[in-house]
Amino acid sequence: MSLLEVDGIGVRFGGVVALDGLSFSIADGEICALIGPNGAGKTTLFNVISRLYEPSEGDLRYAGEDLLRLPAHAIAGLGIARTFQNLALVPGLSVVENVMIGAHARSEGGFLACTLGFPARRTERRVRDDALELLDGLGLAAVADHSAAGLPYGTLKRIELARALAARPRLLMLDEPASGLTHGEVTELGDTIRRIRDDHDLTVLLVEHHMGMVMGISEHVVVMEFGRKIADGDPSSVAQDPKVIQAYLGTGS
Amino acid sequence: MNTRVRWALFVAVLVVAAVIPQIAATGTVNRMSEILWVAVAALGLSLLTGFNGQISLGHGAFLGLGAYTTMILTVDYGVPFAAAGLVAVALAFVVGVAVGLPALRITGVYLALVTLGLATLFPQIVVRFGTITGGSVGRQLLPRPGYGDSELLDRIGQRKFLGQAGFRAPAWTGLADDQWRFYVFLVIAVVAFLLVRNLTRSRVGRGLVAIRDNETAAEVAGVRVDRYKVVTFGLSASLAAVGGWMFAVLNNQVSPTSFTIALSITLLVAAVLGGAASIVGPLLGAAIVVSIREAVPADSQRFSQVAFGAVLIIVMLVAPGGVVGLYRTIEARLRRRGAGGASNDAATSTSTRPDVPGVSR
Repeated sequence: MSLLEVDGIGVRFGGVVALDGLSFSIADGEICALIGPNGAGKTTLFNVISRLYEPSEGDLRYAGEDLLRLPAHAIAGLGIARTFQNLALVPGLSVVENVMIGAHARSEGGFLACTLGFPARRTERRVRDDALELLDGLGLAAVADHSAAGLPYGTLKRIELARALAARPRLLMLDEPASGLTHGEVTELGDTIRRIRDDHDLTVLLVEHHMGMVMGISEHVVVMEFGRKIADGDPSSVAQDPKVIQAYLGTGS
Repeated sequence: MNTRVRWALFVAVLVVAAVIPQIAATGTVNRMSEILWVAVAALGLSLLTGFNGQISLGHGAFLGLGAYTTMILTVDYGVPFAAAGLVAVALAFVVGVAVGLPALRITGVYLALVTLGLATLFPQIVVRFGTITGGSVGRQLLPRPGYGDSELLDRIGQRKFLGQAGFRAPAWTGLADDQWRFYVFLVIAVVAFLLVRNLTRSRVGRGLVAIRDNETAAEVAGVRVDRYKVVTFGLSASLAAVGGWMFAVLNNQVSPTSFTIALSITLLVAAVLGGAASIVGPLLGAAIVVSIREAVPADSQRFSQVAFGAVLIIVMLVAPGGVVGLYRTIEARLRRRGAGGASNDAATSTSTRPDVPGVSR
């Protein structure tokens, strides 16, 4: 059964076609990698699913729900969480508070309740404990009270991952989680993603350039070029697809 | 500072504040009352600008709205002060939301300009509706012979409550008016600061800071960015109106010259000086601002504007986080020295700090 269905999505920025009738679907529980050269439209698709970009055409269904009818802030509540290619942490908050932001959609309390301090305090404790547990699981317990600014890049990436997990998502979207990491860190990240998927019962949509990791952990690979899909299947068949080889290596002429 | 030390300090300050009016002269008590109204209004600005990142150079207008609402309701309609305050707060919330809505589409310097316009507009609106507001001369909450345009006041014709309207100490308290006033202000300020503290430390408060630092990240996490920004504008305006109520009660007179751009800037200076994204900051900032103004002789008040400007520049250069920011820096440095490379530092120093695009403001 598919969790997310991308159906004929098109996005234009002025005259530039960023996505051109893109269609594919992600099965519940799989790790699906979205690969392709720079500018293929992978991050654009992430932003469409997050409802940050408005597609000019196409449909987007998630667990039977029409995503395009919803505002951006409602997406997290459906169980869709993501990380960002260039990081989008909140430097003014501590690491644990950044992770707690991730739980915003599944916690309660508006301005009035929070101002009066009740019953927010109980929820607050629960959300903080959850966040600390996630940080601990990712080896970040030591920096929990550190400011989110001024930590190493690899650490920041893991904090973003923790924040996405704090939403207790059903669909986790990771935008180039391995970029900027050392070789050892990439291997570790691959294991982490698999472990997270198994532990939290997730579906993962992954944008990644690191082929070793993509081929190692994903069950489903979608290849894009110039906003279109050029291949879709399991890692080994996609890797042997002549169109994919051409897109990555050029025609040689 | 850990939580226990903070609370101890809070109680100590409160006790000192409660004792001073018993021994100090009226002038000192009134100065402390002044610090409190500036502090409450600056707290509102800190919530909006410091925590939520929306700049307002027009909060003097909300303060004026609160002061005028209080004056008109108590003097012309005989409404009790407490009720007039509630009306002022509600009215400022509505006007704040009305200003906050267009502010969703404009940010940064442009928002500063638009709110600056609000500050310029307010005194003119007051003068335009002179039959109610007393025009450019303003009006009294207490009768004072020989003050104001008596002909205009006669035309206003609804002065029947004037004289009963002043904020008097109830007989059972056995306090002088200025003492009673200060204690009421103190309670209001404590409540306002505790409520804002609750808010900023909650789920909503984190949302506000996330909006300030990275609106996209906030939205993706499920924060209702537009609603949060608009409600914060309303709350901030309400706090300024509380300051306005206190202003009217303290000075027993309101006039448009009190609510010009100079006041808006004074509030901003108080918020920034103390540390805009903090709770104690506005109080410290208010104390400093009122002291500076007090230190400048009355015949060279223009100089105080220059002094504010100079102080603001120095603060931005030396300690952009204000007094509170400076304290936090020193505390962190001392702690690091004391710990001598604890686990925090080990984690931080595993690699050099790379450029992190998107994280910088």
